[in-house]
Amino acid sequence: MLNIALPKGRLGMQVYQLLDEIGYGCAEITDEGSRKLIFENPHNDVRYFLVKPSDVAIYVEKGAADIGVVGKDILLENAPDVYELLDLGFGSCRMCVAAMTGYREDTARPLRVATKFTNITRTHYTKKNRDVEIIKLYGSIELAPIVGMSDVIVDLVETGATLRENGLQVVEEIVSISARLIANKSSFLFKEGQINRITAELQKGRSV
Amino acid sequence: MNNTLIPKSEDGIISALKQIYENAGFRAFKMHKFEEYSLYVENKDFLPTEYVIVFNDPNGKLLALKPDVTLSMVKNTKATPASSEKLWYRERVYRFDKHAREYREINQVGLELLGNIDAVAELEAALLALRSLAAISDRYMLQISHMGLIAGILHRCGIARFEKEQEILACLASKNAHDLSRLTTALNMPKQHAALLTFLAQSGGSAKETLARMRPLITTDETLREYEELCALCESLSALGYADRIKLDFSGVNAMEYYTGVVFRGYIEGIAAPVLSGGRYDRLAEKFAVGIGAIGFAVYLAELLYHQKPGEYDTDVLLLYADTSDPAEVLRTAEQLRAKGRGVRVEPTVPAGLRYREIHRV
Repeated sequence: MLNIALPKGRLGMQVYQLLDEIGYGCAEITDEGSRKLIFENPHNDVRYFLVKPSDVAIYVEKGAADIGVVGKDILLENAPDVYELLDLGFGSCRMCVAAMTGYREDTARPLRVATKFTNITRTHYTKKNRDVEIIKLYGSIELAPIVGMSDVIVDLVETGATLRENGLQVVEEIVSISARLIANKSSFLFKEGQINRITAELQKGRSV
Repeated sequence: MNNTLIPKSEDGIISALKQIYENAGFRAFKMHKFEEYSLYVENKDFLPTEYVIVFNDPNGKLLALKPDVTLSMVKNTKATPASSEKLWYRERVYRFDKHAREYREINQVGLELLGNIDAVAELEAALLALRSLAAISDRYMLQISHMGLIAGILHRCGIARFEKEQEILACLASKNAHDLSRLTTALNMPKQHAALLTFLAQSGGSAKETLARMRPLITTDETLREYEELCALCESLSALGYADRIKLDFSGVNAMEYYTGVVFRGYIEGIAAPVLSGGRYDRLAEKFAVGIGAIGFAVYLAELLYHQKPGEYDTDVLLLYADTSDPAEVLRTAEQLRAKGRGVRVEPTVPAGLRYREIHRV
């Protein structure tokens, strides 16, 4: 049986539709009223887990799921030991440095950076040899520079509307982000045919 | 996937591995519990981790709990190009787990061949790796790749920057052909080398098929030499009956400073992490003994613990005695049952939670 971890929400359902089309359907999963976390279709030899997006990579790395779909931001932040088989092209956005409109960096002192993505931030500024003080936040990152808690933020930017509404603007793009198909390394060895087929079909679906 | 059960106990696996290695003429090597910290400072490029637990001995010398076994074995080797050493070990190493943010004690069994590493020695190491996996479970697979081939491509492309090397290795390790393709384009890598790297990032399937599809992409004499080494190794392993147990898969390449040639990585179906890892490491060996080569691997036992079938009973027989029982009679009865191969636990009352097959009273 193939175990697939999908992120709860729109992205997970978008990928499920493609998997359904290539023979991995499990109708129950589309029931919006359902509070179940696990869905199984023995006929198609498939089991789905619906998990928090940031947990998908853990389920796959630990082997509870054979494959999964996760944002590149999570892969860069947590560096799980998994195969990254395909850039699905969905959920595109950018990991950016943003600051209040008109902000000018004072390079004579450490930069205060508020972010959820502390590892991506540390790697980015280490490459530039810039001294930073990282402030870890769990939400509403845009608030930090407004109230003077940080100089800049590092966060995902999709359209930039939230930034604009709060008087912020992108000052630097770190990396482009999109959804990726990942696989457990051991599962890939033993279920290679099945996983390669899914990868190829999703690639076709992606280019449609 | 986590429901996979390994039929043998940890002791049973260690005993089977010991027998395999000693039958192949490998001598057991027991090393000191601690190592001088200076060894790791001087050879940090060859360490799998930058984290080491360090402490002072009573004389002020800095000692460390070993994060690695190979360095300790190689530094004292008596091997020469004309006289090889074959050693096996069972040791505990201490490594930092970046996810758990704490040190872990890892029980590992492994072997090292030091000296003249020719095609026979390399094949024997691969064969023993396969037999080690077979001793754990009949559902196993060995990934084979070649660090020298990757290092050669990067060297010929003039990619000497550590950061870029690491990015390319990370793409290979994660089978990430899409980001690798962007990277090789950004680095202006010659097309034939980029095509070979992209192919290797997607490598998998049977070794024979993969080698056949790889051949048209080999365009330099140096790469051809390494390719032929891989072909010879895979053909020999197939001739020995392991064609279905090997895969040419370059996601196993890592530690460019450490490995110089063939790299192995072994998996058991249903166990998420590799249980065997190793390869050829001539550069480290040559630091300690001029002209020698080296190859070895380690079997990691920690992950197997989570996949072993728990015993159904704690004891076969619970032997209950009364206050008035004669102590000698109680233990004589127990010994008689044990002599028949039964496990016997002696108690005055039934312990809470004890699982026993049957109960006897004296």
